[in-house]
Amino acid sequence: MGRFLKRGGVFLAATTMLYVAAMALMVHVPVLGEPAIYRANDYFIRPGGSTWTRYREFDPKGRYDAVIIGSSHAYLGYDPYVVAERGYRAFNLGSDAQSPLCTYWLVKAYLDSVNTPLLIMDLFDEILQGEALEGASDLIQNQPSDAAAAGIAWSLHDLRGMNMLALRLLARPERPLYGSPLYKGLGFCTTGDSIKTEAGPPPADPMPLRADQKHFTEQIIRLCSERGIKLVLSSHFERRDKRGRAHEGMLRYLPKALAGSGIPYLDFTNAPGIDDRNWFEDNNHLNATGARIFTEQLVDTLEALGYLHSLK
Amino acid sequence: MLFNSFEFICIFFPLVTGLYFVLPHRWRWLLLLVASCWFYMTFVPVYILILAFTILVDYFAGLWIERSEGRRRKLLLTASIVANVGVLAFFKYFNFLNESIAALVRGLGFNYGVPDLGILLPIGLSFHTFQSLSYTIEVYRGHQQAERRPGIFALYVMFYPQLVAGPIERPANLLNQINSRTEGTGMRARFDADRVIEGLKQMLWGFFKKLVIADRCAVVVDQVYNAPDHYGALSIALATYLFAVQIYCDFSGYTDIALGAARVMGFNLMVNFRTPYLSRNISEFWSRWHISLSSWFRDYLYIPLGGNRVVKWRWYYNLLVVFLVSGLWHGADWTYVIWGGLHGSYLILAIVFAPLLARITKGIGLDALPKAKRWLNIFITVQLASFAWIFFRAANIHDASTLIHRLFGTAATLDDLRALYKELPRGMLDVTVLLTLLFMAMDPVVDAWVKREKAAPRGLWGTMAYAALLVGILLFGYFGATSFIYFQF
Repeated sequence: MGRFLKRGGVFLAATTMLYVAAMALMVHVPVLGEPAIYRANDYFIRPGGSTWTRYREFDPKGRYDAVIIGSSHAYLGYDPYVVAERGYRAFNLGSDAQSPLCTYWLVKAYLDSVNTPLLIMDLFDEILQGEALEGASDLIQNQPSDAAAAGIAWSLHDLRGMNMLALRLLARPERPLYGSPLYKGLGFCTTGDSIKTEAGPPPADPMPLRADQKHFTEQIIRLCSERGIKLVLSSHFERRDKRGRAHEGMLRYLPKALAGSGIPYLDFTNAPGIDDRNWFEDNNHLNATGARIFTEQLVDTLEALGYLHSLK
Repeated sequence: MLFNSFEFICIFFPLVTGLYFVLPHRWRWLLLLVASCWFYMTFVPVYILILAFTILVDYFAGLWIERSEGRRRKLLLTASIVANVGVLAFFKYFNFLNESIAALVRGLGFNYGVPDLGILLPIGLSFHTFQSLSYTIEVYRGHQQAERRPGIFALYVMFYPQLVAGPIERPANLLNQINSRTEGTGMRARFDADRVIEGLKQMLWGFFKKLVIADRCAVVVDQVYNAPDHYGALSIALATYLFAVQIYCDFSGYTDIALGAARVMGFNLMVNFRTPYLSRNISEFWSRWHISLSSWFRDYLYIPLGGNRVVKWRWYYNLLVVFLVSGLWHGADWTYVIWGGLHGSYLILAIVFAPLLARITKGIGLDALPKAKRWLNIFITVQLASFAWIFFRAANIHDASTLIHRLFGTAATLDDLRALYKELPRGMLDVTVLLTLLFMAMDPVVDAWVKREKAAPRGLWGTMAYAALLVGILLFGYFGATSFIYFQF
């Protein structure tokens, strides 16, 4: 056994050395104009896009009336400029496929009761049904906090998390490799076009929600309560194929997660009068028109509930 | 439970292996049996009952066959075969037969109302059924003593490393190792650091093949084969070659993990692959591809049919029957039957035209260039095998015919490849092709190392070579615990 452990130790040391050397080489040797590492696997995300810009524009020392957080649903659907028209200061920290597993570490790294008296967190069924990998790969490379990146990588419980973190620590790019033409400012992205097609029928049965995403949703609720951040959960309009049965899984889960917390869930999924053809950029996301209409309704609701207060 | 899952790598395998070496020899069979049941039940728990049925039938069949003589002995063997094949037919072929009959009857203008069975195919059914059958046939032939302890026989059928995708073991190898009376071998193996490390190295090579090559190739292959009328000749040809590599790495990767896991515990399972794409003809290909299945068919179907010791037409008939059945063994669909039929036809044509080909190669002077002749033969064999894979991979016959039509009927343009390149994730096509070429160069060397047929580098170089494999898996592996292709059979 001693011989086995000794050889195992040598093997692990050799693997670690080779791993760091290979990673460093691929981070610094360009292929077709970019470091080779970005071609090695699809989760090695290039630095850039709206997440890079958004998280550098956000001022953790600033004071916002509301911060919005969530996936692309959030950064395409919740318009901080519409909130500003109503006299409030808001910022959108949504990012691609950001799920509760990632959101938890972002809240922990960036938000407190001073910069964020109100946190509006977008949630929808699919974000609780899928693994966190896609959102994690974007955030680990593109937001500035090492602590948040390490937390997300660790929580994945996946070797890919270790790879992403190693890339972040070895690359440390000073500039993004590309920008986002959709980025408007205040964390918001916008698209003017619409899908112009009919939505399909809703699926027969909702998919099960993942245990890790439910766990981190509950952790976010706890963390906000500890930090004195007022939390509101929200879902924006959905096209026909995402309503009804598709939405039931989350509707069954949320009352249990929110029990005793006093946190409201503002569900606009099935709001009356949703225009499937003209309010959506694609099957999942609101376009500029849809985002404006939705944000106005959201602000109306938050004001009616007494959740929005201007710090100005 | 998949070999490439967190549960297997970090919990099941270390725990079972650790307990195996801690337990006294007499209790190891029980540990392995319980572990194998658990392993199987992580897929669809209730299907363990099908395995239990097969085990019970063949356990008693073995005992009774051994005690019987003459007609009764034959009758018992027939009963065992009927029971095993019956289970296989019901779960695997009922829907296929039903749909085929429905299509025929409706084509003749009649109504047909027998519904399909809404059941999932039990995982690895074809593998453990054949393994169990080989036991009763060997007992019938007097080559194997019937096993008296039901637990030991159950372990022979259910041994977890090879339970769901082979190699299809024979009692003379596996059952005798389970029953080993010799200290240090089979079930009586001690913890031997060198052997354990050899086993782990073979597992590592299997994981490399599966995660770095097979699962990456799958992304490109799926893109093309899921939209057969969208791509031109070059993309289809590339996807087909990559599928040839994918299925080899997927299946032989699984086998290496199985052989390695068994070796760690002191068992030597049979070799299932020997770099098949270096074969010089289709006959050789089948002696190097899925060896445990082709030798099963040889011993229990081809030779009983008369093999090649019959008149020529009957020999051709025997070959075709064996390969059609082999195709059907792989899957209940006409695409598999055609795949098997193609391989049977290749073999028959090779026999028919052998004298003519010999004259041609002599006439053009190829016999004087043995290396060139060898590589030309390998090239032709790869083309033939790859063409047949189109039917194996295509979703149905319509898709296969679309792919073949576009492969030979559209112009080969680089625009087609560029379109494929853009539709795939960044770097997927170029890196996958590069890794595949690298793998093809490495495979004959590393394969010989892990099979202990050639001396692997020792000391620091050996450690660095396997560390490089692990780093390759970490950086280029396509994670996500995708299933193995052969699990569905």
